[in-house]
Amino acid sequence: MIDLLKQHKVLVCAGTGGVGKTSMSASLGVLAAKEGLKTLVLTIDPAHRLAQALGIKQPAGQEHPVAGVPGLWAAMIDPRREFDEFVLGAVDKGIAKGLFENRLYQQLVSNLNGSQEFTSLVKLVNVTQSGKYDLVILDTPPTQNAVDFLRAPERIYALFQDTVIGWFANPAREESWFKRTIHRGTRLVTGALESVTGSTFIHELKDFFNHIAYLKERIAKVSAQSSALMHSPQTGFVLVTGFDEAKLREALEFQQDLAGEQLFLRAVIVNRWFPEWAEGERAWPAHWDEDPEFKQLKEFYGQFANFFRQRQDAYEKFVTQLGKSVPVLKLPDFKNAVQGLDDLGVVAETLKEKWRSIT
Amino acid sequence: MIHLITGKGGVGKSTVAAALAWGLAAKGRKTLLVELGERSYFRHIFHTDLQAHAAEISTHLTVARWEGESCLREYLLHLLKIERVVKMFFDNKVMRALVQAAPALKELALLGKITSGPRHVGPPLPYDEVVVDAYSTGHFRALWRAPVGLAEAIPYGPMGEQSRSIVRVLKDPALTKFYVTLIPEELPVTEGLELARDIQSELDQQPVLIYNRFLEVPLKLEQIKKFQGHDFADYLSTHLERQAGLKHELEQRGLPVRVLPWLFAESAPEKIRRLAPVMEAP
Repeated sequence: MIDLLKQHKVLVCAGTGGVGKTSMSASLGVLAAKEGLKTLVLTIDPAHRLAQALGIKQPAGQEHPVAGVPGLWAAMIDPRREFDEFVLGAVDKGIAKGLFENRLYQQLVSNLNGSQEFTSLVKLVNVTQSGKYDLVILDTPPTQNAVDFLRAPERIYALFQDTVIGWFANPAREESWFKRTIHRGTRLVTGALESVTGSTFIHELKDFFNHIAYLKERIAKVSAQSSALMHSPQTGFVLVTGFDEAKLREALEFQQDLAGEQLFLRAVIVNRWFPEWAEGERAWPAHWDEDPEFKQLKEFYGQFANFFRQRQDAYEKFVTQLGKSVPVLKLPDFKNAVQGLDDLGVVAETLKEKWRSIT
Repeated sequence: MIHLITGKGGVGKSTVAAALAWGLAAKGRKTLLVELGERSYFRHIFHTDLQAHAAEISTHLTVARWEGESCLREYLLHLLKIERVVKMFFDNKVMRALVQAAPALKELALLGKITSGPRHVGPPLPYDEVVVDAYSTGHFRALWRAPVGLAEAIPYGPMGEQSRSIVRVLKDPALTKFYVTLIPEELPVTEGLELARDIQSELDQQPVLIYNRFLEVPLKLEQIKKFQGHDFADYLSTHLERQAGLKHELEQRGLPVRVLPWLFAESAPEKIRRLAPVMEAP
């Protein structure tokens, strides 16, 4: 595990929703800091208590040292604020103000579909360039597939291509946008757009493009930088998944997405593995065995364990399809929900132990 | 009736949606179960290809997968009537970029199709019930906020009109019903209840809270606690305490609550069949 942490500048925790990405990111952070790496955990909207444990306070966006873990820093990404700051850093105040007032811009930044991913990458690029940290761990927003996340800058950048801006942005505002479109085909398409959306919308859209045209260069730069960063051999992906058939299947699709993009998958964590320890690692008083209620308890455990054992098949299949090149860590369910720093420490130690046992 | 099922990722939204649809269909209601997005989950459950077309599962149940772009395409065709123009529109580089990244377009197209029945817009949707396995919390908010935001932003024209009529359907309890799925864990409950509050305040709707994966144990908590020190007894009592505490928390909200048991069944179709009657209970 230590090698994994030391060999990378950036670790990206990816996976579908509800698998424990945030806790895993934070635990890896605790582990890295304990090994002497100056580490930053970048997260989006963590659970309240986890945020407390990491010392994340409002306003979001700032990097805080985590009390109790020397060397560990944490920051929560607020897409809206991050996007606004990105705009302010790229254009002068007048244009920024015009953009902030545009209703489509407001939709763009509050619409999680692209802006969460985009702002995460902007923040990631900034903090890695600052050189302040040995390792940055990024907790990604939940997406249906991994590529969605990686393509966010590309998708947003597509809006800034010359043709797109040329179509909508119009320095001489009085000039009809129809007049500038020469091809009959283009006229048909713009006519279709206008008839479907209406002239008020087109007006708002043109206002939007008139403003964002100024962001073009900065967006192109971030897009190129984040792509280079993601594909760097010093950036590794950690895929977090859960212990059931559907989640494991999603994980496989994620792995294929990553491979398709030629990104480096370095580890898979199967979180909330069946708690085998629950069978009773500690000894119990002999007279309990005579107690009918204890028998009932053990019977219930049998039912519980049996249910999870059936899932082993799905897991075996998953491992076979995944191939041998990636280490898979099985992290058993813990007695308590992972909430505080102590819990993160326990998870960190368990990860370290599991890693040692398989590599 | 339109049924929208949401909740934090990983809480079993799809199973809940399928169980609801299954139950409605069993009662003889003509039901359409819809999943959103590019990846199909139901094709693994119903063993049918949902890449392009809706699939009939039984006499009354049909399953479909919808994503933003194809809904937009369908809507445009409905308005413009000419396939060639629609094709030109989507083949156009500028429009492609716009559809991919322009704010709110895909959301609007999806909700437009979901609400097309009561609005009498677009191709007919001949179903009594439309059950949507909708996005998880964050994306779900973005979904309904798209027409709400555009209705405010665009006072005139077809886009504003469409948005306003979508919002009217979403706000009408006789036409649309919301379900927030939760499981006995802190984060899904916190996130789910926040979402429920937003649905109440922004859409004036009373969502049903679905408390999923409720572990039923043959022993009482006091009985289990007698064996304190045994690993499974401790694991179980921690779980039961959390489960009861969170149940109390969500009952405080004054919203209808339905409790779905944890089933020791790995097969999804079996789970769906067994949960269907519970979803219907008052």
